[in-house]
Amino acid sequence: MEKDELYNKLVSTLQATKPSLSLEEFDAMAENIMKGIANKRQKQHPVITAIISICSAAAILLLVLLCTEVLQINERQDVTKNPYFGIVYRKNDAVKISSLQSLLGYYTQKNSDKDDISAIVKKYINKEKNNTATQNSAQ
Amino acid sequence: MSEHNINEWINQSLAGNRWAFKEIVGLYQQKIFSYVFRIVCNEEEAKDIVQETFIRAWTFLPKYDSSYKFSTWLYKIATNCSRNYLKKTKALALSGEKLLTMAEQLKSTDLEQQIINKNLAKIIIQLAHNLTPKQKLVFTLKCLEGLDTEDITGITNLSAAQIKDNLYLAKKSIREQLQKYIV
Repeated sequence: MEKDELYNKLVSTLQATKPSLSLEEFDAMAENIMKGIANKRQKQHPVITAIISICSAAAILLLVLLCTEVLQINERQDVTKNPYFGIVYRKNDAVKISSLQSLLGYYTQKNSDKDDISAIVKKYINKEKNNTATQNSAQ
Repeated sequence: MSEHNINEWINQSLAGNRWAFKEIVGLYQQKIFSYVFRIVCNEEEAKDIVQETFIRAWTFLPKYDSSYKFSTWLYKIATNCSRNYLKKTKALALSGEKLLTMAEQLKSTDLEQQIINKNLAKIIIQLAHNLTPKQKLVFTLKCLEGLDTEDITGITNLSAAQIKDNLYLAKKSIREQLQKYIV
């Protein structure tokens, strides 16, 4: 019982007594708070924050793409133009391609070129054989 | 102060008007200081936490949900700011007689506020010696600040049942603490 009395007395005293500061101290505190928020920007609404984030991400992506494009242009300055191979080109003996379609086109062209050359070679050999046969028959 | 004025100040603060926010600071800083002091039991720490509370309030004002009371929202920020201090309650060895004398001194208006604050701090530290941070928080909000359970739920994120349990255990622990002085 005595314990409850003591408890109630202490709690009611604590309730009634508010920790406080002097007016000057509260004024100083308010001034410090105002200084603290002077250069502090308020957080935006979540939707606005999301829009800003998306726009920033898009801008960064655009920048990356732009840089890649610029680098590609620089790289293409050294390209050995080849009318047969179209947009496929060679640089330091490595085949550069811009798409799979181009690569397929490149090899198709390459193989057809090989076929043409071998056909010419065959034609030349046949021609040589014919010349030799004509010479032999004339003799 | 009418609710209309507070809403007006909040709207103006949201538009970037710092002077409107200063009115809000002036209105609530004493209340928040009183609460924070009861939690941390240290005047200087309490001052720092109150400043941090209002700076955070300014920063996150656009996120304030007006369906809650503004004071409850401030209490919540203050609670989060003083969370670290909740864990380090130092125990002081005070006799029961000394405790009562200090409580009696609190009623005297002749004493300097600083002495009152010091005595208050000692008493709270002594009483809350065995309380967990949650128990101390709930006891302070309910018994000393006089907030209702709904507000405490909003501030602490504890359910009504958890608040009831913590409050029961806090009161029990304080009574046991007082028992030592009587025997």
